[in-house]
Amino acid sequence: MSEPANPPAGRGVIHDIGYQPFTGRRQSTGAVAWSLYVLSLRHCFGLGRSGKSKVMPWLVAGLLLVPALVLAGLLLQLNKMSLSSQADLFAPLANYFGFPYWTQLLITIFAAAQAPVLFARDLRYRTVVLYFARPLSRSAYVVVRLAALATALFAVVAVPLTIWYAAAMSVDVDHGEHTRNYLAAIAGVAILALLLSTFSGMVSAITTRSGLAVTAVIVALMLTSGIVTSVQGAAYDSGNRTVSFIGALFSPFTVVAEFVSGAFHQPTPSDSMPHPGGGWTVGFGIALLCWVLGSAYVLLHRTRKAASL
Amino acid sequence: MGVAATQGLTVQYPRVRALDDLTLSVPDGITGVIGVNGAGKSTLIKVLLGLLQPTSGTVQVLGMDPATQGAQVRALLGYMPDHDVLPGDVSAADFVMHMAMMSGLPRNAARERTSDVLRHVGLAEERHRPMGGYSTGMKQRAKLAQAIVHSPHLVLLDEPTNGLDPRARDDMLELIGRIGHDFGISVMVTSHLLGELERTVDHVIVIDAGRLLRAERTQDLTHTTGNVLVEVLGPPGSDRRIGQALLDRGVTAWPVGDRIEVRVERPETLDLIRDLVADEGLGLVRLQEVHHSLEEVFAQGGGPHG
Repeated sequence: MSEPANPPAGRGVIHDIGYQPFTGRRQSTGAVAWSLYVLSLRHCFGLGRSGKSKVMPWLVAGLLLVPALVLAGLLLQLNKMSLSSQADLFAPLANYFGFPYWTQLLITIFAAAQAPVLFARDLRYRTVVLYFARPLSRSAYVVVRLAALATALFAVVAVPLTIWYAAAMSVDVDHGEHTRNYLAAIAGVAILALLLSTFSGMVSAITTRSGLAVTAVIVALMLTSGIVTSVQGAAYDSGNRTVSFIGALFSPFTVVAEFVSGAFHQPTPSDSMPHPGGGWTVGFGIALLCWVLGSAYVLLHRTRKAASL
Repeated sequence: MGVAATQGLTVQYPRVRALDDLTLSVPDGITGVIGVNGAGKSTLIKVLLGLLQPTSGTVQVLGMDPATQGAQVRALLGYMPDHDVLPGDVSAADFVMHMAMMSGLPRNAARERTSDVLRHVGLAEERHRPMGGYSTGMKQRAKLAQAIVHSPHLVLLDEPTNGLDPRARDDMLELIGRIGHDFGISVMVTSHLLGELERTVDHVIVIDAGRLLRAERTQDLTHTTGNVLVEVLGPPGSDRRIGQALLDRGVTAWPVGDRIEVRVERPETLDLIRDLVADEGLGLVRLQEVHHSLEEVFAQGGGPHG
C-alpha cells in the first residue's frame, strides 16, 4: 500500500488515516472455493485453530496408524515365521477393506468431532450469512465444505492403508492380490468418506451446537452400526441372508462394506456379513446413493434455510 | 444512474407480500432506507444481494442483474447484517482476513487490507483477541470491517446502530459518514429511526409495507415542517392559556401533551410567542423546531412528493 493521503496533523485519532481502495485483480469464484477448501481442510486437523482443537484429530489419526503399523510389521516379519503361521496370516494381511470396518469407532469419532467444525459453527453463529453475501453460491459453499471433510476422512484412513500396502509391496507376497485388494479398499474408503461426511455434516447442521452435534453423530453412527451388527449376527445364526442384507442397508459402514465386497469381489470384513450377489450389489449401490444424496439434500436445505438473512 | 435501482419490484412470500411494486433508485453517496420492522428492508437487501429471486420486476445493482450475475455483484458488495454473525472463538484479524479472501482478494492483499480496515474502524490491539469477548460496539466495528475489507463499490448496512449506546452510535454514524464521503464507497443503510440518520445520509428512502413512501434528498425531507414546539413553565393550565392567546391572534396552534405546537407562517410569529409568554409571566422552557418524524411521513401516506 502506498502512503496514506496526508493525515491532518494534530488529530490523534488512531483510525484517521487515509483510505486506499483495492485496485488489484479480484480472484475468480473457483479460487475463492479453493481457498475455502484449503482452510476447511486445515480446520479439520485443528490447523489455524486453538491448540486444544488439534488434540482430537491428531490423536485419532495417530491411533489409526497403530493397527496399520502392526500389520506392516507382521508383513515384514512374515518370512521368519513358520509356514502354518504364515498361512493363517495370508488372508487377514491382504484384507485391506476390513481396516475401515474394524476401526469404525475411531473413524466415527473423527467425523463426529470435525463435522461440527465445518457445518455447525457457521450456522450457530450465523456466520454463514456472511459467506452467502459473497461470491460463492450457497450450494458451492456446502459442496466445498463437504469435499474438505471427505478429504480429511479419506486421508486419515488411506494413509495407514498405504503404509500397510507399501510394506506388502516390499516383501514376497502375492503383489497382484494385494494391489487389487488395496485399490478396492481405497475406492471403498473414498465412498465411505463421502457418505460419512455428508451424514455427519447433516447431523451437525441440524443440531448446530458443537457438543450436541458430536454426541449426535457418534450416537447415530454407533447405534445404527450396533443394531445392524446384532441383526446380522442373528441372521447369520439362522442362515437368513436376506435379513442380513436388509439390515446392512441401515448403517453407513455395512452398506459400504457390502457394496465394496460385491462390486470388487472382495471378502466381507466379517464372517457374519454374507457376500452379496450381483442384484444385491446394485441394491447396495442405490442405497449408497440414497444415503449420500439424502443427507446432502437435508444438509443443503437446512443450511440455506438457517441462513435466511 | 445510481448504484442500485429497482423497477416494479415485487416479492411475494407464501403468506406475505414483502415488497409491492417497489420502484426506487439508490444514488451514489449515503442513502438511508427507513421503515418499521417488517417494512421490507431486509427483503430488499436479500434481493440486491441476489439471494432472493423477485416475484416480478427488475433489479439492477452496479449495472448488473443480481438474479443472473449474483457472484459478480456480490464480489463488489459489502453486507453488514443486523444480527450477530461473529464466531466467538476467532480474532477479528483472522476473521476479517478470511472474509476478505472469501470475497476474492489474494492472500497478501487480504492481509494488508485487513490491517488497514481494522485501523479505520478503530479496532486497535483488541483485534487479536477472540471476538466472543468484544463489547457490542466492538462487534459492530468488526462486522463493519468485514463488510468493507474487500473494497466494495456499495455496502449494505442493516441497522448498524442497533443496540449501541448513544456515544457508540455517534461513532458508528460518523464512521458511516466517512465510508460514504471519504472512502468513496456508496452506502445503503437501513434504520427504523429517521432522526438517527438524518445527519449522516444524503438521501432518504422511506418504505412501508413493501411500498415506497418517499425518496428524497435528506434536506428536502427534514428541513421544513414550519412548526415549533412551545413548552412553558407556570401554574397548571398555563399551556392552554398561551395556546388560546395564540389562537385569538389568528395563529394556528394545537396542544401536544402539555406542550403546544405552533404553525409558524411568518418569522414574527416567534416574537409573538415570546412576547405572549413574557406578558403572562411564565417561563419559556422550550421553543423548538419540529422536524418531520417518521410517523408523520407514514401518516401522510406518501404525501405530495411520494
